[in-house]
Amino acid sequence: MPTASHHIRLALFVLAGLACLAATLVLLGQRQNLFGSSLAVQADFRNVSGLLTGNNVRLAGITVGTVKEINILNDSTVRVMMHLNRDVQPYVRKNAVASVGTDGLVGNTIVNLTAVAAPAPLIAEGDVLRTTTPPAIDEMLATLSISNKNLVGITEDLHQITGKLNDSRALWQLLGDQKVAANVRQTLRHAASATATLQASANDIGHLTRGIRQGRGPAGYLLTDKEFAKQLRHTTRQLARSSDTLAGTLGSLQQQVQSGNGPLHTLLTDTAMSGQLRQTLGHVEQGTDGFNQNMEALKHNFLLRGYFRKQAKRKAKAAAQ
Amino acid sequence: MPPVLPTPPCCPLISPATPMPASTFFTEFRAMTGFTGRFFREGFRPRYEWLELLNQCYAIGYQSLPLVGITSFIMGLVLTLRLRPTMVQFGATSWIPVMVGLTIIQELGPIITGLMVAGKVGSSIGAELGSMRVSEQIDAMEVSGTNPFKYLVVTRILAATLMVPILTLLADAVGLGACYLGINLQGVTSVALFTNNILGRLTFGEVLPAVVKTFFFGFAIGLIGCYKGYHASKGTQGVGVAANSAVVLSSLMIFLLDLVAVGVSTAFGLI
Repeated sequence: MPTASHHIRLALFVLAGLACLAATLVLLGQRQNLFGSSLAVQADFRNVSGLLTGNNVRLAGITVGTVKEINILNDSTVRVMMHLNRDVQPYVRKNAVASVGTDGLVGNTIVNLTAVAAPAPLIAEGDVLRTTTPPAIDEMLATLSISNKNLVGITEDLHQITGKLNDSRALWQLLGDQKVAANVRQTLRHAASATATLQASANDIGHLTRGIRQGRGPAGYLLTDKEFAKQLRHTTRQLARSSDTLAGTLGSLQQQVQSGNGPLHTLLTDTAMSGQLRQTLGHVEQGTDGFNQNMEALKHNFLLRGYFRKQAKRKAKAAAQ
Repeated sequence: MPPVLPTPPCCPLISPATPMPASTFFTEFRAMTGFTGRFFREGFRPRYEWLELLNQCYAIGYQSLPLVGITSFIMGLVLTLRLRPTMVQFGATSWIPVMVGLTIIQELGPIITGLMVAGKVGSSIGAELGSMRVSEQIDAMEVSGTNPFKYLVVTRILAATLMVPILTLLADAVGLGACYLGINLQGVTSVALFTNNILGRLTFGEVLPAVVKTFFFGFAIGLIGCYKGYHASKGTQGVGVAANSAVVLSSLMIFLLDLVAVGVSTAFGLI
């Protein structure tokens, strides 16, 4: 016969079962954001890679919502509607980028929201997010296949090179020769020394360059002084004028020579004139020799001999000092 | 006065040892359909047998809990311990709660509960009603003005329909507890991580069909047990055959219903 204790036990039994069901539903509802207020946003993808309604939406690896609806808009666009938790609205901006990924290698398909480091207003109800398509696994495998082929080629080449190196007696002799090692060491030492010198030279050049820039030294003065530059420009201009004048003079002289008028033409082309001139120069030379002899004779004359002696003594004294 | 259905030759026909001819199968099917229709006609019409319903709920639900609980505990523990070495090889031990949890909630919990209840309750109902039938107690109730169908059949079918889901929910909880224990026997995990791992992969589309189908499991167990017992004949031998065929047919029906549930869930895009 039924008793009250049976009924109490039955009630507890039923309550326990219903509590299990309620706990499951509440926990699942909380995870799928069924009981809190949510924010509906959308994103258009070319390929959703098996995304299902109910899959998670993550921001920085944290589940912030779920996929509510997936619709095909046209042959190249799939629109995914997501419900985000209202609590995360301050952290999601309009320029956030949505991408379809997987939870681990073999996990569920999820939607990842990635923040972009640029100012943008906060996300609002009905916004359409930008999307990006991560590389698909088959694309990665295709790339990996090419890399593997290249790797095989490289390892084959390396195998050949190492084989040739192993068979090379000259190389092993070179590597085992201690003189070569000593020479190399000495060369390196010289190279280090040369480098140090080069470094010092570079420092000097740098110092010089700095000095020139600051207008120090003659080169700095030449290259940086504005007054000098003006003077140089003026001089150049004067020089240009002088060269013009000289060119004009030479031109007139050339004209005289070519026309056969004037003393220059006579001097350059008249052979009688040149003979007379040569004779005149010979007479001048003879006259000069005679003059020199007369002057030497004067040095030994008693009237002027004292003057020349005094002059010789002064020179000797100056040389002694 | 409820209509009295012709007693079908049920017992020898459902015996698993002998194959059933096609004509007999259809006769049996028609009789069972009529029995089901009568349940719906009389089950929702006053006067309601509340006290008997509570008694049957206690017998079918509460008294089956130890058997179902122990079975579920063992299944959860064994599944975890057997799965662990393989998952260790793949470096995927963190997936053990998910795999065991999903298996228990979606399939193992409902099926184990259904089979245990079919074995315990189906046979009990078949034998009880069968013995009442062969000892003419049901006839006596009809003569005395009591509706035996409403009192015996409706209460048992309703009790089985209501109690199997609750038993399944508790069996799921016990099985998941055993899974948690199994993981901590050879590794370490926290309750929060274990719960998050399971709930993180579950959706309503996976949980609700698993719960809803247990109502059908309970209904099938109660209906078949009552049908077999209510139509038992040929004395004590018939009672044994009724109990046996109730268990066999209920168990088979559980698997068939599970298959249908998977098909329906797939058709609605829930899995």
